[in-house]
Amino acid sequence: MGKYIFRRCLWMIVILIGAAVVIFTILYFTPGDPAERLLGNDATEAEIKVLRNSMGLDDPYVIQLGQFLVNTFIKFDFGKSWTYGTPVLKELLNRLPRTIGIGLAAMLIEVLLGIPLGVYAATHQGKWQDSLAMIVAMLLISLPDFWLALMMIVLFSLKLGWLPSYGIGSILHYVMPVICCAAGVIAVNARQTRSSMLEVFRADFITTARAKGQEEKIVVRKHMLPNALLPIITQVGNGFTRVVAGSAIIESVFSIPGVGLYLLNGISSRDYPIVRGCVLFLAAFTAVSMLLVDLCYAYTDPRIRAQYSGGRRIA
Amino acid sequence: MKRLIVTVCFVMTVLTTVAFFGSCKGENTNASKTTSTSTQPIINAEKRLATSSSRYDKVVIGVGSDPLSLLCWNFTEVAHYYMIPEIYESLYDLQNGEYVPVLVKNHVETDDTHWEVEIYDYIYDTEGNHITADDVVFSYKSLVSSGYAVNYGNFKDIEKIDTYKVRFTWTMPINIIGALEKVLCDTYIFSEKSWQSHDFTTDPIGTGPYKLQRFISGSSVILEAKDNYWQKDTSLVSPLHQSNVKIIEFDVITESSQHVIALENGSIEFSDSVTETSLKEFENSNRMNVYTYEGHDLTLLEMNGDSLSIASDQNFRKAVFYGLDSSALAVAGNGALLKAFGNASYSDYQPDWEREQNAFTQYDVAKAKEYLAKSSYKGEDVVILCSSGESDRNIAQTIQAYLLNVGIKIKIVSEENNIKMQDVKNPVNFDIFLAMCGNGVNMTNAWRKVMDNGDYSHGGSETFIKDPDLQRQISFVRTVSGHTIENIKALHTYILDKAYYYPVMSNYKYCIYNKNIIAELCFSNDMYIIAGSCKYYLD
Repeated sequence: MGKYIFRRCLWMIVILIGAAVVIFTILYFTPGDPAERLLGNDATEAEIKVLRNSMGLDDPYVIQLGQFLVNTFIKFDFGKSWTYGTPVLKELLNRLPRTIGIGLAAMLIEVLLGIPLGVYAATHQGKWQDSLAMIVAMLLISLPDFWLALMMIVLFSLKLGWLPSYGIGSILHYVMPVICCAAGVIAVNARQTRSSMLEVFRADFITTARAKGQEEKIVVRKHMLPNALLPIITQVGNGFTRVVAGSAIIESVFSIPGVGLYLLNGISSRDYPIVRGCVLFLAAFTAVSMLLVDLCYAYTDPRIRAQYSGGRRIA
Repeated sequence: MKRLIVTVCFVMTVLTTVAFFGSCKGENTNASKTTSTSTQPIINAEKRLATSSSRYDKVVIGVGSDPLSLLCWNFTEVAHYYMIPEIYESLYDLQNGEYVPVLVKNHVETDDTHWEVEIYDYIYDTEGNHITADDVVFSYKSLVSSGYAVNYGNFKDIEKIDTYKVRFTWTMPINIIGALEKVLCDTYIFSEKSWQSHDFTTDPIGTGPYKLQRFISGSSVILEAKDNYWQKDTSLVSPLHQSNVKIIEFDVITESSQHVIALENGSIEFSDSVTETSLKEFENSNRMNVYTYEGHDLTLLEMNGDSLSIASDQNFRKAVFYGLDSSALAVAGNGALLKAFGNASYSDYQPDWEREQNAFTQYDVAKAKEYLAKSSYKGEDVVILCSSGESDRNIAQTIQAYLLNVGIKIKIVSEENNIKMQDVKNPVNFDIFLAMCGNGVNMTNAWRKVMDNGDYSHGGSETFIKDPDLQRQISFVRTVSGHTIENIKALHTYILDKAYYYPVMSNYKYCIYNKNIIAELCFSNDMYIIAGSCKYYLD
């Protein structure tokens, strides 16, 4: 298992270097002059040229790329933001807890609500309970998260005055953002769980368990659910990654200064160090999340654990 | 069961569609809605007003963008303009076109290219550091070496000549109006010692009436009034450097609809980030007042002067101008109609232009077709380059519709602003450029950016117009001796005759504030609120 993790980490480095080259190249060829954006409309061509020179933007592509790769992977320095004036890594680490916090809380709700909903639907397949659960899931998937966010703000902040509408501070500030992030993914988890459960529902070992006189509750919990977990784990892992990577909309609506909003600001202001830093961070985060998902597979399914440990493939 | 689900979904879709269109029925269309400026309400004389010695407790301001940093240069976001003048101070303030001393005790123009400036000998920053001539020199040289010094063409050098005296050396005699605005009024002075020991991007130390209490990047900035502000003589404290409120909290609210909610539920007391469509929420409000004014920003059409473009043909340009209804364009952009290349917010705007009948104000399809027939237009697509913002796109679409009437086919290219500013540098990318300009107190300075070819290496204006007469006139009208009503009017007439530029509108700005707390708003020269200098009711 250790060897497997080590190999994945090595591949992660290759992936990150690849991502770094791609994002650098894309930004290099993106139209829009960062120096002009920084100095504003009143600046003359000469003033813009001086700033471009001091920022190193007039250096050839290869030199700029080389400097960027050396700084990032050897010095672990994402550089200083041109607009914030602070080191990108420091600002990312400042903002990360908020985004991760929302992601983790949303993931918890997605798991606690989505999986039981899916199990409930699967165990009542064809009945009104199944239909109701799937209608609820369909509704939750259909609602755009920014629309849901604005409706919740109008109801809970404006009409009822229960929750603050924007910003950070207390835990109450995070209630609505977490619910908005979780809503759609609850539905996806529910549908995935239902689908996976139905696949194992009529398996031989389930019939055997029932024939042995096992209670239905135990059959579902100890026999069906563990065997249906693999796609669900993938879905939960993807959901968490998506919440962190796609947090820009929710952070923008609720004015939460997280990684998503940082990246958005960087893109609109052509702040290349921010964009590069955030993209690399998100790439690393996604790679680590996928590794954790794979390790969860190993924990859940001994056949996969044996595979990772370098044993023979078990048919 | 499946049929039931499908039926439920269908009914819900129909209901939501009906509800949506039902809510649209009663709305006025933009074409019928007109906005106008308003005045601030009269101060209630029965209530006590706060002063620097008897301050109002706390005011919360909603800002629409993240200030990014609290450094006193590199202003990329509007939010900067609210906060920086509270923390830092420059040598002068610009008020109604005049340089009003702030840190300066006196100055002497020793000759055409040298000024000697003496600062007060009792200026201290937040940390108690004494500000001397060394700090003034350090502040200027730091800005210049940072690369963020804009409009510093006249600045050559600064040197210390005494403990509290510095000498400025200009590159040439100062003959241009507004040439020193940035140098004297937008360069902030700070202590070298504070600079070495603090990171000003997150922990600024200035001489202003407020100090930083807390800064959460992307979320809020809290400023606290200084009890030990260095200027004790209240008669010398600039009107823009008051501290009538103890705590100013700036909350970053990036979503404009959230500003409406925050104002309604009392989370903030002021916002200027509310859109025009949301103003009706505050009509007839007992608590909130809407103050509308015309800003300095001017939206205009700039015609491409390059020979490759059809817009270099004067007859074509006149056909475009007569084919446009300026009032319709202003309504499309939700702005104020412009009768000339400026508005009353500029000190050198000529009021009689309001009554003039010319190509800017006349909509005459017959005349437009006449000019079009004389031009070299052969039915090709004419490209209008604009930003992807809603206002610009609406204006471009309105132009497209009007010019189609005349027989001109318009192709709209709407792009994100940074990309638009790149594309305008290549004359093959556009024929008409929908641009914005506007800065400072004088209209002629606003014209510089679009008309003056001194800024561009290709030798033409921003849109490649190479007209020596235009260049001569714009250069002359910006000088102290040339800035006369006659010359301004002559340039206005010349632009009209040549049809180089078409004024579309100026932007309205909407300030919504709690009128039970804020008695009177105070604005900087650039029309940004100075929260500390506003008047507040104590009762």
